[in-house]
This record gives sequence, C-alpha cells and structure tokens, in this order.
Amino acid sequence: MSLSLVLRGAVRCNAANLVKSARITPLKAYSTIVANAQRQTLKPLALTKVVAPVVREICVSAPRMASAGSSHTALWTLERLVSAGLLAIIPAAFIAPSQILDALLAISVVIHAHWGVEAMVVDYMRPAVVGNILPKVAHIALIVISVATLGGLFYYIQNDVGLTNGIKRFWAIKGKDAEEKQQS
Amino acid sequence: MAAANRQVSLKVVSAGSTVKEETYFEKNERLGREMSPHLTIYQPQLTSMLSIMHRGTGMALGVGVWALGLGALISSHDINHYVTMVEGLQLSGATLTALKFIIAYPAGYHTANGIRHLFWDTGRFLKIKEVYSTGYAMVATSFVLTAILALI
Repeated sequence: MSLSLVLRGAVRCNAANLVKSARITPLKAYSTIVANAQRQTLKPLALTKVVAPVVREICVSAPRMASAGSSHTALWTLERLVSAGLLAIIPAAFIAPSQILDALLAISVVIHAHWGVEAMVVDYMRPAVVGNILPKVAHIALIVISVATLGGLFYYIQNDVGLTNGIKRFWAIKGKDAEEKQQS
Repeated sequence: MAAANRQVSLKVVSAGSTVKEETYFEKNERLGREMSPHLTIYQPQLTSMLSIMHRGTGMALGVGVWALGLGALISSHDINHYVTMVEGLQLSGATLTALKFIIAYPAGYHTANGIRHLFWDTGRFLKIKEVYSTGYAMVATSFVLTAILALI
C-alpha cells in the first residue's frame, strides 16, 4: 500500500529511491533490493498489484559448526587396513602362537575396538542431547580404557602363557562326561 | 510474468543477533511438546537390523577384550587359576559346546559382516538387491563360522 502511495509522487521508480523515500526498511539496516528488469517497463498503476517486498535476514559470517580442521580420509583408510589386517592376524596368531604375533594381535584388536567404540560415542553422545561435558569425558575415558587394556594384554603376553595360548586353554576345557570317558 | 512482480530484498544482519538463548530441545521442552515417534514406528528391515547387530556384536566383543585386558591388570592370579575355576563347575560337554557357540557367535557375525563392510568400502555390492543377497549370505556364513569355532 505504501508503495502505491509513494509511486504517485515518485520521480524515478528505481530501487534505491524506493528505499529512501518509502522508508520501508529501518535506517539502521543495510538492505539491497533486487530489482526485476521487467519492472522498469511496467506502467505505474500496474505496480499496485505488487506484494510488499519480502525481507529475509541473512547472516554474512557463517557460524562455525562442528567442522573438521583436517582431512579424515587418511584415518578412514587406516581403519579399513587394520580391519582387513585383523582377518589375517587372528588366524595366524592362533595357528602359530608366538609373542610377536600375540603383540600384533593385541595392538590391532585394541585399536580396532577403540575406533569402533569411539564411533558409537560420537554418534550417541551428542552435545545437543547430553550436554557439553559428557562427550568429552566419554572420549577421555575411552582413551584411558584402551590404553589400560593394551597394557593388561601386554602383561599377559609377557608374564603369563600368552594371549592366544590363554584363550586356547579356556576353549579346551572338557566337559565332565568327556573326562569320565577318558578315565574309563 | 506474474511471478516477476514480486520484489525480494535481503537484509544483512550481524551473526550475534541470530544466536538463540535456548537450544532446540530446551525450547520444545519448555513448550511441553512430545517427540514424534521414530524408532517405535519405523518398520525393521534387514538393512537396519543387520547394521545394528554389527554394532551390537562389536560392542560385545569390545567388552570381552576390555575384560581380558583390564582383568589381567586387576587380578592377582594367573590364567590357569581361572581355567581351573571353570573346570570346577563340572559342566557337561553339551553345555560347554552350547556356551562356546553363544560366546563365539558375536565373533562369527562381526567377522562375516565385517567382510561385507570391506566389500562395500571397495564399492562392490552396493545395489539394494546385492545388499539383501549378501546380507542373507552373511547371516548363513556367520552361523557356519560360529559352528566351526564352537566345535574346535
């Protein structure tokens, strides 16, 4: 409505003059009006059908969300290499037990489990849901657990029968009827 | 032509004025709104069920590894002590095989599905028909693998 009032007295129907004369937008805001090329050829009366200008707020400095500082692809590739490597190291360590293979197995399994649980923590402990402190605490706790687990497994390998040998011993436990058959 | 009549203006504002006082969740809680059903209404499909099983079996295996490693740090006995403890339970052969099957199944499933994941990572079997057929094949493989492990 204000547009049509303005246009009766307007000398030039261009965008900048419209803004200044009609004071559609407040003085403090800096605004640009996208003028349609065809409007300049339209008769003034036809402009009364025009809808009031649509004003959208845009923010020029995009807020920095959870953006990564570096490329993720190297880590991704390493994760897949370790996963594929596990397919080889697990049978190898059980078929030919040795301290070196046991150590390789322990490292591969712990780092694979660490990455897996880390993905779960990132997926489920979202700051929008659980707050800002809990995800960080969970990440640190996971690192502590992984380091401690690796330490414990190395202790096994060094001071006890070994990782794969220990698992084999549990697996070799015979049922009581099997023992009776052996005795008779 | 009619659409050309609309005037559009853009107002540039500072970043600070767009920051809200409360989060999306805080606002909806304040307004007393319930969350729409999502997990309770979405139909379970082979894709999603196998995927969450992969995560579940992975977590189970992870807990097992942690128990082994942390147990070694905490316990004051060597592993033979615990082997003797379990032998003392005097379980029958059938019970033991069943227990070994249950313990080994997460490993069998996670290994079989892990191989399926690695195939996907090379770009293979990504069509939906292939996802389903490899899914069924993987479940069968997991049982075979677990049976082999339980009978060793």
